[in-house]
Amino acid sequence: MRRILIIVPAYNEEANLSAVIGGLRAHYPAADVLVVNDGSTDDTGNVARRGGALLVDLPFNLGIGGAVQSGLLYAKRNGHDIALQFDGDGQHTPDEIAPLLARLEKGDCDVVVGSRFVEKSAYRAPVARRAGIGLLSIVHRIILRRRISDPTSGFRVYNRAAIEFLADEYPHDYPEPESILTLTRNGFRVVEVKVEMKPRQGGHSSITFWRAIYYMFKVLVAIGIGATRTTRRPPHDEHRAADHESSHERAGHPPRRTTRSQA
Amino acid sequence: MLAILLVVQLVRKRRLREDYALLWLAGGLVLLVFSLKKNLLDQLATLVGIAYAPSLLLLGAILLGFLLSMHFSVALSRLAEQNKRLAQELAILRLSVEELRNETGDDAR
Repeated sequence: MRRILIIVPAYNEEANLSAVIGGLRAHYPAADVLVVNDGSTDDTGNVARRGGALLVDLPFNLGIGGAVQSGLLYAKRNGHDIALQFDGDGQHTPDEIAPLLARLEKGDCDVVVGSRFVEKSAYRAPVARRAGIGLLSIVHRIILRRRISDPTSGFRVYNRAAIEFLADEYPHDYPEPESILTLTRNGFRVVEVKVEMKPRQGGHSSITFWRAIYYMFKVLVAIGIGATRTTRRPPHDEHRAADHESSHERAGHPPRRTTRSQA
Repeated sequence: MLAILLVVQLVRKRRLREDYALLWLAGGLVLLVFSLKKNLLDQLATLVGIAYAPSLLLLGAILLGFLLSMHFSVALSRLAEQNKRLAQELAILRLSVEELRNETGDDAR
């Protein structure tokens, strides 16, 4: 039995959290549900505990990147095979987890991202957000020469190799787009699967208009500079060696090796 | 100039790490040398082709300030990273402690 950790990053989500945890525990009783309370000022921590989730209670706000990474670190330490990131605001639905997991189980990819835009979906994001996502998507296309339709999606599953890599190296406060880039450049295979998402169910988004602009800019700079960075050695060389022949021919893009990784 | 040196010397007493104290001391010393030997600055200025000598001093000061703040940014980034890691480790440890307590039935807080 594969051990699955569901990571729910939550910042002031007391309104949504118990429903989210309840849904997850009902659908996936075998999985561990881990709420990362990112220094919330409301009752998020207690709601999580009462809901029967594991709780990693950060002493102060680290931002979504630091929060998710805490979860990944936990997964790494506790030997989970699969980590699922599931937002605490009720945007993601437990029904949509199965296709992501099924895709990962095929074994020809390391990360599966739930995308709202692979095909037409019912999800309607605000125009500004769609524009931002579109721009990021274009940037990814240019740098990676691959289509990533929804780089901002926080609905993802990681396999063990990706967990180990990201636990050590995960971008900061608006990490989703950048992490796709980092992962791909380090030889991980990222694929997208179509999911439906709901608008957030209550509470407030942590992203305001000006912050969004600032983040956008910051992410572009981070990605731009990241694209010139030499990649580090993928920490899962044994895993690579094991399915060397089959996997990356199939995946269509061989893991990139740098001179440093050979040394 | 002596005042600068004095201040640095005082701050050095445990309030400042030695590496930084040394840096400020060196800066103070350079200034001291220039103020004691007035024509040295002029000679240096003509050597690098600057007509107005005090602007060389200013240039040096700005350059030093720039490099220093750059250095602090780097140091700060590193500290922030370490700080984040500490917070994560702490939170995960807290969870482990809680789990252990539940297992042993010890509910002391």
